[in-house]
Amino acid sequence: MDTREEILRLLEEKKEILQKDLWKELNIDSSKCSRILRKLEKEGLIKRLEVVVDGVKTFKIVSANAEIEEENRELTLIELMERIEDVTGLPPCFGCMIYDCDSKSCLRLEIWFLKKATLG
Amino acid sequence: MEASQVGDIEELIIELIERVAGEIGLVIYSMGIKEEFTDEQIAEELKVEINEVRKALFSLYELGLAKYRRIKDDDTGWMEYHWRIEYEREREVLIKELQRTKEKLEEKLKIEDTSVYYICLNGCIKASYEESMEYGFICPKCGGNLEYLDSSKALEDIKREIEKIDKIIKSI
Repeated sequence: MDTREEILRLLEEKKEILQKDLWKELNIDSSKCSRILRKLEKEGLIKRLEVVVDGVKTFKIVSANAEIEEENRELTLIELMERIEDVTGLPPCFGCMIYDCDSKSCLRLEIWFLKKATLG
Repeated sequence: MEASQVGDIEELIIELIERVAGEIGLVIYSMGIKEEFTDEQIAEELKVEINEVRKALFSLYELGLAKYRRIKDDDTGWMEYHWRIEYEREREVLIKELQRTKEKLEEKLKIEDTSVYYICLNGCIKASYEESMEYGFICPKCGGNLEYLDSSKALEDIKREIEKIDKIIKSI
């Protein structure tokens, strides 16, 4: 597994990680780590959020999907239901790239289901 | 295979690619390029940002419909990505995705069918009967009432959806 794949795998496992911890964990130098992260962000696969830890600036790394989920979580179920128009087709699982998901806690599937349940 | 089914399958592939790799992913896929290409070439041809192209191609890769080789450019020292769209894997990928979707629907059906749920009228939470009892049928977030959620229609819909997916998989 190359470093970029390892970063994506780590993110899936931990949901978020600080850049200052990441390069130590991967045993690579900080500039290489920073370069890969910048690239991953450009590709839209991760987000780097600036944070200050113990008075030092670093980045909190989250996967791009995780950030969208987090944004959604702050809305109520009704607001989320209003955001989707069509529930007649296949559920959000079709084409969802989170392969080891838990269908019990998936918010997207839940909203799709609730919209179906409350329609008409 | 009937002509209408071929149409259905094509539509499903289009929907799948659009969901995973977006509009740009779909455009790249529809270009029908059989040979290897670089992301720069596509970005130039489509007049879109190279990052958009790369993002779409990585999504197609994740889906199993594209592969790449990384080659170091000796002059610049940069890694070049040489991509190829794997059109021959289309059916295999579609079947895999439909099967996974069906499994997820079956799981959801089981979760919803084996318990009764209540929902906050303001849309804050959905809770099982047991949880709702503990809350005294009052939403712990907003104080509104928790009301019984009648999901019978949605469950019927899901059962029909599962049957439909089964039929499609058999026809592919």
